[in-house]
Amino acid sequence: MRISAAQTPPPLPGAIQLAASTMTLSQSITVSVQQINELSISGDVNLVVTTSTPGSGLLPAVDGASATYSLTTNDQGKKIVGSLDASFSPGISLFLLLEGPLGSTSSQQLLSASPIDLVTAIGYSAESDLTLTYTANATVDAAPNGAGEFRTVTLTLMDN
Amino acid sequence: MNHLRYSTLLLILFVAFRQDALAQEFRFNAGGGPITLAVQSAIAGSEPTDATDSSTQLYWDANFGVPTKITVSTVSINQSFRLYVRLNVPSQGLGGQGIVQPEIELIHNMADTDLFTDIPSTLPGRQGFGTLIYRAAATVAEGNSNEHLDDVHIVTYTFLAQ
Repeated sequence: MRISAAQTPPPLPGAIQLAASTMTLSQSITVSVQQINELSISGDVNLVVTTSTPGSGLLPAVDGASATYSLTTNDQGKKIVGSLDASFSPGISLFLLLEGPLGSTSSQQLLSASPIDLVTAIGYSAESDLTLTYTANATVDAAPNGAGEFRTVTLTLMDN
Repeated sequence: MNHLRYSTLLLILFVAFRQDALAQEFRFNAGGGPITLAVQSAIAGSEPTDATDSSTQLYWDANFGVPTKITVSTVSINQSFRLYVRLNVPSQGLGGQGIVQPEIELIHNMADTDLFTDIPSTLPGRQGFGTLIYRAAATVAEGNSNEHLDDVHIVTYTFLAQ
């Protein structure tokens, strides 16, 4: 019976000392951030060249509100190039001006089947709803094309 | 004779004391090995999507005789990106009792920071488990691992009297 009583002693000074001890666990965590490059476009554009000034050529049709693009890149030294899936009929041309993300350089360019630089010197960016401004021109030699010519514009985000 | 009996009593007390000390426990209940969190996607126009991991579980038995807590710290030389951790403890059942702290940002050479506090010293609340939720984040302005290399953290959890 004396032994039984001894197995449940009251708290000892040593128990308080024990409470100050610590136990530790360690774990290795690696954080890897991949190169991320994302580009998206929204909105279709319909350009109709219908008017002219007597004695002058046809007035260009301009649309800077129907389409926007968004961009995310955590890399530097990027550019956006643009191209058409096919050329328009003779006398019809399409120009595109992109609003570039902060710090980049952009310029209006004539689109063709060959990719051309639209925005260069793109750095770290996460911007949405950047504008695309399309300008369609037609010379007086261009044949009327009825319902129009449908083309697909492709934008590509790539290394400078 | 009385002297011998007194010595025997001390020996028994010592054994009981040792058994009590061994009852303390702090270990990985699941996982515990190296983890890689990869930030690798984004929606165009938005910042990269965070990477998370919840494969690690802690188990504890806070038989310290006083309220106990779990703290966290990290060492990550040349840290470029952000890493967070929180402990998710089931609110009922066998999760144990205590106070969960808000998500903690793990920063190189940080001081030990409370992760889970006020663990009681008595059963059943002194025993419990929780899941570690890691979250890695990086803005586009923070670049990528090709530029900065990966961040490697040695995260340390300390179980101690409060």
